[in-house]
Amino acid sequence: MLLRRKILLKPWRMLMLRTSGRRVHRGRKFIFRKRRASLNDFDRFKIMLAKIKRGAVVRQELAKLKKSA
Amino acid sequence: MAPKKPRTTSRNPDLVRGIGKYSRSQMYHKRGIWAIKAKNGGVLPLHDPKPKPEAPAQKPPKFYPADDVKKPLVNKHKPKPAKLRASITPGTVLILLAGRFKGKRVVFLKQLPSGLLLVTGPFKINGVPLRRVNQSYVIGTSTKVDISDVNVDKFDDKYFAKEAKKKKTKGEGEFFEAEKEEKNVLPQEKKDDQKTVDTALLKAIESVPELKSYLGARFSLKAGVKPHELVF
Repeated sequence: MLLRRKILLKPWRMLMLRTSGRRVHRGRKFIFRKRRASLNDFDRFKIMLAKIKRGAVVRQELAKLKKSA
Repeated sequence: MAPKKPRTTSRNPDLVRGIGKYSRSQMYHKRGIWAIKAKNGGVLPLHDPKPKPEAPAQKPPKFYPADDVKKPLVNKHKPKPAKLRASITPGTVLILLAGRFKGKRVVFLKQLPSGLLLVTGPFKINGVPLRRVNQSYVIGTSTKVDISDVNVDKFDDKYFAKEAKKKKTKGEGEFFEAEKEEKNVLPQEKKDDQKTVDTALLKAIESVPELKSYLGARFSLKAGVKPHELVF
């Protein structure tokens, strides 16, 4: 007897949230998506700022490495 | 002896409609009119007749207008002030969706009697002055600013009303001159008001990290983002 994908997904998601699914790539992806969906406008803005800052730091380090090489 | 309760039916019932059982003279005796007359000196007492209404001074016209004059229906409807959305409270950060400042994030200060929202950027942060916005053109976010130190009592709908322009009488000389457009100069009083509100508001905004740059940024959507699924 074949089970539909939709029926299988639900318990799988619950399993991912509760157990060692956090270590599985697919499980982590699911967790992140769920968390991101619950952010409000201000939170999304802060994330944008954090990404900008991170990008700046990375660029700085890269420039240093290029210079020393 | 007078009857204890007032009479409800006639003393002279109808045999056929319009013809009573008793004649006029019989009723004269039944009602005892003769006795009342005897008591009052042979005259039946009567109320004084009502004074006639004064005859119209002018003779009414011979003809009246044949066309019906339409009279507008009485309309006493007074609209109630618009109900404020639950997500919009004083201090809420709003996103404007239309008009000159679309995409800007502003702080809601209060609802005016007309139902419009009083908002400000503040001006120093993103250039949005004190202005009125309809609720329909606004997204309410869950971010709040503490506006307990901001005093907005002096602002009402009259404050924002446009000044009526005085019509000029064109002289013969001016006819050939092109219309000189007078630029609208913002009165100093309004600038001072803006500064006052901004000072108090900025104090509250700067106490929260990143809030100042948040209010200065414009709202936008990236590819793939579904606005109806976003949480604000």
